[in-house]
Amino acid sequence: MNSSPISLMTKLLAVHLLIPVLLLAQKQFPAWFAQLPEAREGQVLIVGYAGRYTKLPKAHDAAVSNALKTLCQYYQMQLKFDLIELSDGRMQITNPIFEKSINTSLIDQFAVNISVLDSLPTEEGYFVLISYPPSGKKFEHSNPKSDWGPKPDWIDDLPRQKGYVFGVGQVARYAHWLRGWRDADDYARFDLAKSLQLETESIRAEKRDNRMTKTTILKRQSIDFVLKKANIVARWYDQATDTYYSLCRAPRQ
Amino acid sequence: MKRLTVFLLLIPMALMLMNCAGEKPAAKKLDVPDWYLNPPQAEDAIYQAGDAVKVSMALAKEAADARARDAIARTIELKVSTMLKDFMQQSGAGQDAEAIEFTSVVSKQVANNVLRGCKIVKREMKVEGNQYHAYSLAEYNLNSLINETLNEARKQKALYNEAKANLGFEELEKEIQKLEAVGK
Repeated sequence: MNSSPISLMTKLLAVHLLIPVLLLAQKQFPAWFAQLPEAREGQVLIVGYAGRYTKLPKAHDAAVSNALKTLCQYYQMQLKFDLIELSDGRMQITNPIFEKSINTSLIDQFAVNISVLDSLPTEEGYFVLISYPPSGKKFEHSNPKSDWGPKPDWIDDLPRQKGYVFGVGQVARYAHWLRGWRDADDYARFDLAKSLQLETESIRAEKRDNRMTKTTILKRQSIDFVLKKANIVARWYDQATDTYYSLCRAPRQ
Repeated sequence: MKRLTVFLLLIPMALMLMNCAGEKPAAKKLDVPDWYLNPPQAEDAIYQAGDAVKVSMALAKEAADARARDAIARTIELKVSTMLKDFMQQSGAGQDAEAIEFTSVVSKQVANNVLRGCKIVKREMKVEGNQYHAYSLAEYNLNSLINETLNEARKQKALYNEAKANLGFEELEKEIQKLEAVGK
């Protein structure tokens, strides 16, 4: 059966558009990227990741730099969130604003006080696991994994652990895995902060005439919060739906 | 020819009758989480569900979470406000501007405070065409509600005194203790 020229062109265009997306998809990752090992007391473990570089040392540096920024975030980050939702029965407008501020002045101090426990270059990027303060203990090297396994329970039911709070971030249909994880990680941090502090305002106006009632709702929820010791402890990628999930954990503040 | 026409006319009728005589089609089950339709019930916690349909998954999740939390806040605000209004009514200060303000300020602030302890405990994401339908279940533990209300009422004690209520503040504190029954 011959395809019409238009449908053939559409297929070619779809394949053409899909190729870069498939190339930018994440195929391999270290085990500690999916599940962060438990740190010893007084030790902080942080994962850093970077995209593909032509030279490995550059990729390594970029991943370590990413880990150092995450370490700064671990110690302190200012999160501002503002969600305004207007609904009048016919339409609903949801307008969220996310702002994150990090004090990066400590990066230089951290940079000389960490050790890279493990690193893994893959076809799509570079991953590092760092320890702060440096760890003298030998860390077992992680071979690349390519199977994310079954859906973890924490996606549908937040874990309950005494003294800790959790948050989940999820994003889908990202062209590049790097941006997917970056956003999923950040959404998880905001999600956690919202379970610690949230301001809310809600205005409901009802207008009635003989036949109908029109309800207008203006809702606002916001946070302006300094989050401390929040770390991404687990990640999962759903290949079927191209969805990235991150789990953030912090001690109850 | 006439017979053929009659035969052709009879076919759709026969098909219609066959259809009627057949088994009733099973009602299609909605693809909605059970906990959304029937939120869990507990003696010491309240649950409210929220949902949202958006093109962006992250936005759908944010909106569903916000709606579930808002539902909790409204439930708490209503419960506290009703309790305070009843109390003010009984003490003869129900319609005073100060009494109304006291009731409004305390219930709003309590609702705002309780959200700090409000958690999203369950989520589900469904794909509907090119959109995401997010469902969220919020939980609030009632153990701290009495303390939150007492603290807020004490902060607004000046307003309460201006309401010239016949009953003392201790009576109000006793009434607040009854909020324990809010989740029952």
